[in-house]
Amino acid sequence: MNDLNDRLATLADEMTDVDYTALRSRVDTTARRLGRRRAIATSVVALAVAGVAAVGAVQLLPRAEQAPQPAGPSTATVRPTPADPSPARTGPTAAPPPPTATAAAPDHVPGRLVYLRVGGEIEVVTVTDGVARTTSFGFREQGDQVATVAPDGSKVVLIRPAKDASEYPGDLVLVKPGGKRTVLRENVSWGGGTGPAWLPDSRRLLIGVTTLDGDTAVDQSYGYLDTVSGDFDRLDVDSFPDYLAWSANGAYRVHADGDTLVVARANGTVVRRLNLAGQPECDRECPIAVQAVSDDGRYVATAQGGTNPTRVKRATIVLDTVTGKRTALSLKGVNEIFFRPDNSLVVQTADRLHLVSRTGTVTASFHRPDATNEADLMVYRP
Amino acid sequence: MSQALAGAAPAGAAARSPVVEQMTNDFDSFFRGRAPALLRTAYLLTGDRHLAEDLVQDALARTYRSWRRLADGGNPEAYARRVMYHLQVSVWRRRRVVETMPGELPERAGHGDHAQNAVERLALRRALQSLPARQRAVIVLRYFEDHSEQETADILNCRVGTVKSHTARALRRLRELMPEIDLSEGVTR
Repeated sequence: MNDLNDRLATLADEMTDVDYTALRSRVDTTARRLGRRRAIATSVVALAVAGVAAVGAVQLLPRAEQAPQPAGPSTATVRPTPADPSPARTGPTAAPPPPTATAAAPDHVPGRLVYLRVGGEIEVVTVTDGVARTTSFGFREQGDQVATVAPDGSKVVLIRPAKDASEYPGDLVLVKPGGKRTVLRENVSWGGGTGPAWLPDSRRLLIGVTTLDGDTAVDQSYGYLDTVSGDFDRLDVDSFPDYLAWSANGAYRVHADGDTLVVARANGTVVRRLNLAGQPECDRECPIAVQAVSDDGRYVATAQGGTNPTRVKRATIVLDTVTGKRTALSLKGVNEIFFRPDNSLVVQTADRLHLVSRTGTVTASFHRPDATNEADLMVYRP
Repeated sequence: MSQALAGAAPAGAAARSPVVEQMTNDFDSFFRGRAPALLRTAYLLTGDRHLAEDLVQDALARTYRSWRRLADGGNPEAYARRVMYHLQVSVWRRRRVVETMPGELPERAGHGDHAQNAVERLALRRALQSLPARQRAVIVLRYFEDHSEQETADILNCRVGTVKSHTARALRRLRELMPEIDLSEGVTR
């Protein structure tokens, strides 16, 4: 018994005389507390945390003047559940509460889903812990292009080409609930894999701006546009990061550079690159249209290129950017895929939402809320 | 008031579906089977019985909240252990652990093997406590749980090189504090 292995095992033997009944009860209490905290906190704090994390080396601006959030947290997000019947404080003599069922048996996708529907009207539907709320952003106008909703659902931006739908660039228009429109910036690039991309703080956008000499583009610049102050912080980059997507926690971002996915930290430090040239879809279009990134930056959900970069659809592929392997999904008709903090998936099919394990096993399925019909799932925040 | 609320618990419990009931039973079985092993690991990580229970409590609560996913093709114990390690190396808990440094060692003379074993255990516990939380976690993962360097890196979400450097530093420190320990066999994989 003279090596470290045996010594550690012997030391561990000191952990005896545990009151397992009490410990089991404490586990229940803690699980319930976590559930309550999560139900309240996710809708209030996660957005702020994501914003702070996303800022990286970029300036963090005051947030107090942010627009009201029509999709913001409401008291409805805190759901009474049969398994959460007791108050947080129980007397020391109270009987141990029964195990909770809240976490184990969800009847909806936990967290917040943000949908965008662009028909005759522009509408944002948020589903927060199963509770749907629809906000109108006014009527769609002829020429509106590449509409995209902020991660918190509070505002929409779109491009209105200056001359006609085939003209580059266009006016970047901010649309607020009710439909009030403000031109934020002129000559904003769009098309191909390029389009205004929200940062997780729901305040700034990454955009490309074209300098025109008459009808001729003579320069391109890229940078962060603050939708509140109008400030434009130019970035020293050579090209726009196509199909840019951020992880829900704001820690990582992924974009396409040709047929390569580039994984970077929030401050821009590149972590790894994954070349997709060998993927079977590359016979037509490589799956470079990134829709979502896992919180640890390892996994991405992608669709074939050529889709609208601001509203990637049919992201049917989950790739491990470390190994290049795919997650085998048995679901058919997948429209959108997003990641949960543990790298499991939220998958939207035509009429259902699914929770799917990291390995591709469907663990729960729910009917999509009626209010989200014909809408694209744009954001998921756990 | 609290009586009324407390009285609601059985009603809520009775409303649980058979599926939920089954999952709860499954978690109970998991708890009964694996909690002792988790506590042993937690004790090595924290060096304190109460902190070990706290750590296991938090890890299992998170496991419980993820139970449905884990029970369906997942690995609940691996998940619980991973959570435990990550909680342990978090800042707030590391601070708490520092407060529990054990006292002076007892005299070594005395009661044969039993006393000698106690002295050795105390010496090792104290040596482990002197390590930074991440180094301690590496030692426990590598030499108590027998994980490879790659597995250890995966669990701690760091690079293999980091595991190697932590291991080297930790072993160097352990050798300084416990020169009698034999680290040349079975621990230098």
